[in-house]
Amino acid sequence: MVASDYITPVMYLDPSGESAILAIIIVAVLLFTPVGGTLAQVATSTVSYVGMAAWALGDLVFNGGNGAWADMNRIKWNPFNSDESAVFASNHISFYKGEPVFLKDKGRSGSFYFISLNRKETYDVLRHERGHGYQSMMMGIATFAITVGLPSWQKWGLCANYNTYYNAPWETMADILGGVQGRTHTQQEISRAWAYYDMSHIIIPSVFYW
Amino acid sequence: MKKFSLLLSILLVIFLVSCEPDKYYFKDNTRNDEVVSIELISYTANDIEIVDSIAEMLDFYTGNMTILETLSQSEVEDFMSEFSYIEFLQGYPHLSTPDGTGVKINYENGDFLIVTNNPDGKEPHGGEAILYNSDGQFMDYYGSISWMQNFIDLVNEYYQTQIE
Repeated sequence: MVASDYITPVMYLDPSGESAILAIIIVAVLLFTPVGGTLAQVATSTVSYVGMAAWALGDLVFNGGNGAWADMNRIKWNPFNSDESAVFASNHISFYKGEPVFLKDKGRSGSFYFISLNRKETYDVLRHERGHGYQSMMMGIATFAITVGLPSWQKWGLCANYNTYYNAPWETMADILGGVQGRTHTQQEISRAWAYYDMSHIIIPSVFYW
Repeated sequence: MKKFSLLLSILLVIFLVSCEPDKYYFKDNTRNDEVVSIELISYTANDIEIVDSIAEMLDFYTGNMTILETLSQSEVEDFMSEFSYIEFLQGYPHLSTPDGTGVKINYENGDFLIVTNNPDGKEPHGGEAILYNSDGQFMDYYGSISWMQNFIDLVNEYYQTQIE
């Protein structure tokens, strides 16, 4: 057995439990509040922008710049680009209103702090996905996943029918926040969307309180 | 720590699978250039059901159809241009046959596409895009309209008969 003056487990005891409480508070803030949601968006966008810039430079050096380099030039290297046509004209990557966009030729579009966009879809799909992006910032990571991702995936509530899909409050909210132009919601639908947003902040942390 | 890991695992699964439904737009349809006429029709379904698979789709009976109006030839291209951007969702339970009022888009070889709406009919009230051959036999189902008001507005823009 070796004794040490410098390393002793006693040094790491937390008899008052304050550290554990602090850790729980930090995790809760990151998962359930706009602070965590915004941090997640900033981190994802920053990492994506750096990665895209490296990809673009590599494309310029090794492939003549017709791929990712052209994509970044198309949005003038502006991560807050708001031109939908520039996004859809891209080969692989883009940015839309601060959120990274990755384009593909088939499959479903989706978003989680980045947008995975099927290029065959329409401008309103891009706007709607950006709306989900704002939503995930405002709700926080876990609240968004549970109150938007889960019911959308499981086709709960109004999402169960194709003709009421966008009437589901979490989808209506994405339409509103993203500035979708092809669908106009009634005042009742808009109120329901915000009520759902308000309730999501109260109920979800309560579920995990135990 | 176990709870936290479980929570993160659940979130990860949700993130990986949560996305928009499959969508279809007629702008991607290769037969748009084959459209010869577009009629506004009324169709009364004999036996309407909600089905999950295209194997359960019914054939089209011309005797159950009434032609209300025919779109002017000069407006066919414009109509198709707007129709091309209407969003159809796939992967949902849908009606087995058209029902109510809607459009019949006729192709050169006699095949035709039907999209109808019946606000008073069986839920979910229609919006299915269904392709039939010249004999009315079911050929394909493309999806169902996600936002019916867009289709209603389109029909009401091009036809004198107004639908709701």
